[in-house]
Amino acid sequence: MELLREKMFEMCGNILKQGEADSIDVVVDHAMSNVIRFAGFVFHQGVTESDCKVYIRVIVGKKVGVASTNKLKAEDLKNCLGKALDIAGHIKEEPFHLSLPAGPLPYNDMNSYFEPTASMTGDEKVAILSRGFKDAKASGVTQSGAFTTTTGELAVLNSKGIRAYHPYTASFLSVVSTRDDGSGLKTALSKDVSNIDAAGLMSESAERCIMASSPKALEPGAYRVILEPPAVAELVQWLSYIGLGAKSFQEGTSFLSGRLGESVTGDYVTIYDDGLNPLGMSVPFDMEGVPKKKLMLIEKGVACGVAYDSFTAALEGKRTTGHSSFPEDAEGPLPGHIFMESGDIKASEMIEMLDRGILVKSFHYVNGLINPRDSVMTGMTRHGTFFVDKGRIKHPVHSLRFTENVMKAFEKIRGISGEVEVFPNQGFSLSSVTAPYILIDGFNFTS
Amino acid sequence: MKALLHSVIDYIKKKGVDYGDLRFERITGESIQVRDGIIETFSAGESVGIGIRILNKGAWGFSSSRAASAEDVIKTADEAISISAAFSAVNPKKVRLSEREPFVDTYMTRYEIDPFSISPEEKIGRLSEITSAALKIRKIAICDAFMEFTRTDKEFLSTDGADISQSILTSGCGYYVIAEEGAQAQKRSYPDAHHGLFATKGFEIFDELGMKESVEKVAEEARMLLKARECPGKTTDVILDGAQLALQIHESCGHPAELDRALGSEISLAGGSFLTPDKRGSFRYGSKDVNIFADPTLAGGAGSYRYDDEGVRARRVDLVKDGIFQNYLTSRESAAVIGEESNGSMRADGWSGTPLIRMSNICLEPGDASIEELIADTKDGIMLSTNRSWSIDDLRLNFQFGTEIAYEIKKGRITQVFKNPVYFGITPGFWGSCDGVSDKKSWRLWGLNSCAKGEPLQVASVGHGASPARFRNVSVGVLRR
Repeated sequence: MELLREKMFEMCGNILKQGEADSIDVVVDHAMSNVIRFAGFVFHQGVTESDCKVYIRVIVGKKVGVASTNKLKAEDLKNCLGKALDIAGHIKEEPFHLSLPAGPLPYNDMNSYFEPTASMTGDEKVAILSRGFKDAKASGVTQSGAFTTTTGELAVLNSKGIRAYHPYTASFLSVVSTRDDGSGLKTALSKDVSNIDAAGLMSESAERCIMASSPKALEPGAYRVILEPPAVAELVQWLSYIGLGAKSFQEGTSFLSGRLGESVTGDYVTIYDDGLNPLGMSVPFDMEGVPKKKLMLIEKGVACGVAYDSFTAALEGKRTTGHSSFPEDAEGPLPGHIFMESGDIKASEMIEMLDRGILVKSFHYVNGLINPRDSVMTGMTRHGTFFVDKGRIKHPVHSLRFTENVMKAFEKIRGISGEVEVFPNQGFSLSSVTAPYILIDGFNFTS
Repeated sequence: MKALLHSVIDYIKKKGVDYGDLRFERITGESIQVRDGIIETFSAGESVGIGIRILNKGAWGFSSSRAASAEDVIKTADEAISISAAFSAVNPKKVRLSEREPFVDTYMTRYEIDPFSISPEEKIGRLSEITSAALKIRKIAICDAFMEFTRTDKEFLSTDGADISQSILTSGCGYYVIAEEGAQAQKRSYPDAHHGLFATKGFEIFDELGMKESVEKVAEEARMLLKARECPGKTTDVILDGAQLALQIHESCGHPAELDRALGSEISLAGGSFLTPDKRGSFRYGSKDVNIFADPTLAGGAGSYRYDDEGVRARRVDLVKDGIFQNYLTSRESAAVIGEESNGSMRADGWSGTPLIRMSNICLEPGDASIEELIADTKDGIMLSTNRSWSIDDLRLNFQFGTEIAYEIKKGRITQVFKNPVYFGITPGFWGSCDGVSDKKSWRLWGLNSCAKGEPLQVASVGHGASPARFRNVSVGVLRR
């Protein structure tokens, strides 16, 4: 994909010049992705998507209008601006002045664009995966999954001097191996596809599957557990969705509402958002052009903050934390680069520490809306659940459903690994959740 | 534009591929959200582009772009051909398509009031009326009201001569209130959770749903939940209201009846299906009272259309008849695998996505009893209303759903409400315990705009017709050990 930095700036500059508004901001999201999906060693979906979307937000007095288009001719953009102005001209005033950031602002000088990712073709992915299939077939498993690469560029400009631009690439490989009633999952996420060892990943997925095959039944109940990073990441993502953004916090449905400064979980637990941390899918600014910085959400078990954009911050007379999403998004600001802080235990030593309990590789279909105020969630274990006794894996068990108050469960964390893994988060390529292995002394499996 | 599209089809034909089709779509939308009288979002968007799908030497390729120029479109076609060539070189199996007539037709969904003709002032005014009315009620701290409209104009052309124009207008609206007292917050939604109710209708949907008239009752129920006890954990008879039953149908019948899932195409992401092909025609999915069908031709459904995105004419199909699993939702490719013709269930999320097997309007046939009779006939039970949470395993067997409210039924009468209820079970056992479906009078076509599937993720609007139904001996409660 050809990067269009200069054209994007010229296009946005023209929009900013034309508008009769107190302020205008323009977000341009230009991206091309290629996804190769395979199931049972057959490539069944190959999809290349290319789009360039322009979002225009105008503020006229206390009125705000938003319009978007992917038609980029000057006349089309003028029409889009006209639509935003029309909306702003016909709706009622907000009770506050929405203030957008003034620029220029300094941004972290990070590199998110990697040529090996940008230049990888579908043919190359097919070749890499096909080589891996041979080993998988020899080991007696069947493999399915997806290999995605994305190249994009993001520009945020406003009439108050913000000029933010960032080109990026992202790659994600996910491989599920299956055999009889067992399955194994392994994923990798990186801006640079060269960092993804596809052969190793496919081999590890197969090993995990073989290990998980022929599971036995296990009675539900409360067990000590080790949750591996994919399982932890899913819980943390749900915590973010139901309670770490300003909207749920202001609505009173967040488990942090009215509890800032209070201990909300165990002191082992530190969760923060850090858009600049290169361990995650970092990005220098949000969709309002506000520079990213670290935001503590829960520190040593104490609630300390939630994510704001300009709108939700204005409702409370606060400042944005730099978590604005695309202007059309109605979900409100959410942490896009979440980290659950790692510990100092080696993951390989945790099974011995567990002594007796359950090892969970990943969860499936978690839902945190049962009672978000108490962070009650449910979900199934998937891709490997194991019974551990006397510090050793005894045998795989059938998938189990958990139903648990996650903040309460996190109070019972007895160990956190030093190792972490990174997973995709939300819809945007440059967002992620980074999670360690955790050991919990009591987790409720309900069926 | 039509001339350009025909020239692209000619170009694809000259490439000597097995089959090719294209969809050129113009999608216009509007989304408005008002929270406590403050406008959270008022946005208007348009998106135009083309998606080209190629079957070449028995393998698929798909590419999409903004279609900014003729050159851009040809490049898009070449990319799809290139992907299919890469696949065909290594795939051990060749895709075969079931037959379908190449239709030439024009279709648009019906509506009374074009929502794009209504002024922004009126839309904001309608939503603000709701939030104002709700906030006047004691303990109601938050009211968020929303409406959303999408018009999709699409042209479908294929190398075998199909030429179909469709215009589909989808409208939706809803609101929720949050009652607060101390540290407690309880939410009630109307007419359904998860962004209200969607339909292929116009602005008239707002009045048809009685949005404003409903506020007092909805707010009162949210207030009642503040004082309510937690739903007790026990095994009891359960009545699901229409909105919750819609989601139960969606998750435990609609998804497992997708043939691509049953054949393993989604195994690495959403999972497979317990409804394997060997079960067709013989597997007892539910009791004899359970009759579930798919019908994209129903007027006004969120999943209504005349042709799917393979150009197959939509038709009604029974999924479950008298409790026995009968049919799948199919595509041309998957139908060929089981020796049938497609029943027209392939849809894409706009021009940029490749078509996938999607639910249309998946409905439970109404029964004979009125809802009042169903309640009166229940000695000891719970009625659950409005979905709050949903979770189901990768084969669509082990489920757990939560609802916003539960009504206790004792000796045929509603006695009190419970908060934070969940119920759980195993799909065939649950549907097997269904012993009463209420009648046509309480049957409604519910509509969701948020059914997610595939990679890259696609989101579809789907309809679900349902009236309240009763299920015997269901596990309810929360945090059961």
